[in-house]
Amino acid sequence: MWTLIKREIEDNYIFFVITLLITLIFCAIFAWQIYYGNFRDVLVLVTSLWNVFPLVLIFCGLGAAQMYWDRTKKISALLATLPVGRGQIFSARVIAGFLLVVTGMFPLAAVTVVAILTKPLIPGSLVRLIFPQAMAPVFLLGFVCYCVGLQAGWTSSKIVPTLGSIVISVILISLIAIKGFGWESYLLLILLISACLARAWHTFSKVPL
Amino acid sequence: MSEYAIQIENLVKYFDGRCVLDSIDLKVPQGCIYGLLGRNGAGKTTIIRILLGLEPATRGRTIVLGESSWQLPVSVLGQIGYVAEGHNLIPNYSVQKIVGLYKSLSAHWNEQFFRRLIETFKLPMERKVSQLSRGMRAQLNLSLAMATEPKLLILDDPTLGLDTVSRRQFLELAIELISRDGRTILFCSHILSDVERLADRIGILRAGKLVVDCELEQLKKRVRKLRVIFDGDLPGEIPITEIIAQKRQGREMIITAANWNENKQAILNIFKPASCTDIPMTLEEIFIECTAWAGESIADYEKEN
Amino acid sequence: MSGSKMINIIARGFIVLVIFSLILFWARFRCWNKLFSNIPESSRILAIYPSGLIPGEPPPHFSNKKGYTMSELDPNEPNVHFSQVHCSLEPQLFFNNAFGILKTLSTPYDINEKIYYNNYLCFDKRKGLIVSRYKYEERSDAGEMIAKSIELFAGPHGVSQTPEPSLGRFNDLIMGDIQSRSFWIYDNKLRQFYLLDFVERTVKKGIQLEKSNTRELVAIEIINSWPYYSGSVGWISSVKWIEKYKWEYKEITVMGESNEKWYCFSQDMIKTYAPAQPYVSVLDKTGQIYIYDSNEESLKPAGYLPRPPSLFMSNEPQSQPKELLVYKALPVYAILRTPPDFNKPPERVEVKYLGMNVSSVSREGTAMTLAVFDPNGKQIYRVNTNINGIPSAQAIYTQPPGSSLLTAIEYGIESLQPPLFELASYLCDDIIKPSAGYRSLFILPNSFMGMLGRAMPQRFVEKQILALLWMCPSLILSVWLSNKIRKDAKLTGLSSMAVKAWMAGTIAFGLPAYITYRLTRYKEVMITCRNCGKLRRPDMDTCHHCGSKWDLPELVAPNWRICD
Repeated sequence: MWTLIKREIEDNYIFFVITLLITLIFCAIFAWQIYYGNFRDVLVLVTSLWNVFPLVLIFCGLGAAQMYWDRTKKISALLATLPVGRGQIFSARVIAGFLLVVTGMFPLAAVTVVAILTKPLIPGSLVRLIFPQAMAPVFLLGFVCYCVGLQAGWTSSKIVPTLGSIVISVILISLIAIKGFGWESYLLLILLISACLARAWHTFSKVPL
Repeated sequence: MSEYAIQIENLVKYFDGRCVLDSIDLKVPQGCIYGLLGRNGAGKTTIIRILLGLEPATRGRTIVLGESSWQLPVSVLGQIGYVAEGHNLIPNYSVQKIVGLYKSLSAHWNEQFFRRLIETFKLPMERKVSQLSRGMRAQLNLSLAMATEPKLLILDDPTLGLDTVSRRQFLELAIELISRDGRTILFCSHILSDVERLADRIGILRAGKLVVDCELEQLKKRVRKLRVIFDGDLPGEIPITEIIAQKRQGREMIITAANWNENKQAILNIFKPASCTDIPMTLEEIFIECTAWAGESIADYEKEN
Repeated sequence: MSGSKMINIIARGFIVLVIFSLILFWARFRCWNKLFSNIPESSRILAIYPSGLIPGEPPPHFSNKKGYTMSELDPNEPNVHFSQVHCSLEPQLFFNNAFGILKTLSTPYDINEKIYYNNYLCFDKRKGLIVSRYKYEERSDAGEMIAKSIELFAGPHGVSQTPEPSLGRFNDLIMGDIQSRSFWIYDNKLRQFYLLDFVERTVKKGIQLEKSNTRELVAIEIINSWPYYSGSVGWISSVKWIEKYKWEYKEITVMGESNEKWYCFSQDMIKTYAPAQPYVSVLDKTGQIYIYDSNEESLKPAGYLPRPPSLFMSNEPQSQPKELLVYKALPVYAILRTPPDFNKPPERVEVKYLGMNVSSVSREGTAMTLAVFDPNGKQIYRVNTNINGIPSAQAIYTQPPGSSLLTAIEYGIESLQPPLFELASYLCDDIIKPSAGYRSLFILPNSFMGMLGRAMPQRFVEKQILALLWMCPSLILSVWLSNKIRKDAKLTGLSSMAVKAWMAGTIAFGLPAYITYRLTRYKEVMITCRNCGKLRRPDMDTCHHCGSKWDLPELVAPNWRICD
């Protein structure tokens, strides 16, 4: 299993590199704002989704690219003839996607929390707000967009996965804007992730390789 | 453990409304070397892909090493070696990387044997797969499949692209592998001389149906090609069943028939042929007779063009 | 149907439903935003001038002129002679409620936690203590001012710099819009009022209420609105304008003895001039408002939340807090100070309660009511928003130019909603909070069906018939789509149970179900059956039309002939 995950990461390393670069830039902006900005600026920063949009597109792009290249280079057709089940191939792919989302979100979350904890006169409730209430839905949203990319990529066309994924990702981003941060967003996003993964797995398990 | 490595029951496969496999029944016993033959587009690769779980069947059942082929468990996949037609390997990987991938994913790996194969074929480990020639890709594919020491080896046109020397090397390796106990091989090839050398049983596909499925020696006995000469005009239709092909020219008739027996001979004798001689056939000639379409003739083609 | 296929259908259906609902949300948002913006400004303002609460002024009188706010002074009218109260209904109210993410910017945690820049005050539920942290300046021995910060913990038994168990524990707290370090709170579990003073570091007990369902309090210093935007429900009691851009107090000439000078203030201002004033306004869950007098330790009725008219008329005068989108109640007080000069510290302060102004906005945000109550809680004036004389809750859909078309479009969009959700919107009016109504994706309490569900409780039969008629387009669409699926499903060989399930699902979920069906239906090319000539599925052993197998010996001609 680790071999498959490693293979997925190595094959798609460019996505990890770009994500890390963008994340580091945002981390620097976050840290600067938290130290030198005021409390309201921090809230605006945390709750604004502009910083997530480029990352979300990258996550979506990875999902689409994984499936598209699989289909064009017949990677799964090769792997499936080895002692590797389709379930393992799919799981490794999804784990690689999950790791990409973590690569994008975790440094942001860590920098934000550390900076806030070291800044005086910020209440502990804000940390509770930022991490579970704000960061978790954004993380889940990133993963949903990755799962959308997984479904859209399983086509021999290049245009369809690109445009389709972007449109659906934009629509899904608006879900957090509408519902805000809280249990409603969690529930919807978790259900969406489950549905997208179930759908992607169903396609992958039934389709000729 | 079943006595059959592969069992196919009433296999039907449709592609976009076109039936490519029509009620195929096939059994490959354990330890058998089965040559599956057919013209281009006959469905050989489709059968193999269905057996490996890469393609779902439209109807029917396929069982490989005791398990349904559509949901082959990992333990069974580890006992199968496969060389795909076209030698599909990940193009942007280096040979070293592909080998590493196979090594880490395979249930069993014979490093010594693999090294021997690589030295025999002289494969460059640092080069990318996309930069290898077709023949080198074939050699790599073979080496990877054989190094796992599979119980069941499925080869889809394994010598495609190989030069004569490499083909000979492959044959010798295949014979070496065969000599080890319990190996079953299913392979397709267009080089029938190789098939004739290796195979125990032969299957021939035509128009989606399995028209031949028997031992090689039996096939040669049961398919007879006769030159029949008559004194007078040729008789009309001779009521012999299972005629594969028939050619008439002047007073001479060449009949190729399946399952020749005394009854058929007796029917032929009714028409009082002047002479009736047996024309021995190689596997290639039997194959051509079995798969050529009615009226199809290479000579006619050359005349027209 | 296999389990995995069922899961695939459900998964796909859910994704389709969410994306479909999001698209419908934005379409509805556009319509509603436009409908709100179409309301003329004069129809969005309610003003009562004079307010009717200040002794010596003429009786209250309605005016739909814009109130004299800080930014809208009339240069021709430098002095405002009488008190007035006004509120305005802004489209931004709807906009802000449509986006849950904006809530994060205003109330980071919940209504019991107020965080101010550089200071914060919150209720730590785990410790059961109120925590206040703030900065202050202290003069050092050397005479320099040094900035310091302090954190204090307050419980029922006192205030301390450490969270000691001896402080006790608060439970279910209700706190108001805290603007100073001395304020009243109410513990719902103990049914006890407390006055917290973080300056003096004291906790004083008020009265304890008897256990009663109707007396379950929900708010103190009643305001349920959006504190971080301007121009929504606002209330201003403007008094005599002394200097330009400076609002002060008004002298009441008819109160008290001739040598006494009483001045009136709204609640906003009174904390500045009489921080120790004894009155607190509280609200219970029935909508009844009380004034708690901490000196007399009594709770007196002071008014109620007025119910704005709805699309499907309601005659009840009073509304519960959970039925309103926004409400605000502001008492008015009179203060007697000795000396009267506000620039000097007071020697004596006496406060009297003069009455209350209460404004409320309907759940849908389409109507607003402003009511005035005298000190005994009796309503003395009440006014509703209207457009051309018609209550705005009804007129918004037809009166302003272009509204009829927008209303038709809105109705059309709502009709695309799954019938099951429409029914749920009709039945489940209480489940979704008013402020969450515009953010709903699936069950829409602010849709026409939702409004109908809340209206006409006395006219049950009429209501059901109206609901059925209202749902007609949606039902007709669902039935039509369901019939299409039935025909197609038969052609593609679905079992009768599966067909029935799909039909039932389409009638319940409408267009999203149909889209899901189209995405998941059998897509392979079908083969002509040799027996019946219809298209049959190649993956099935028998024809789903005639039941014949693939192998039909009766249709194979024999290889013999008997002919001339």
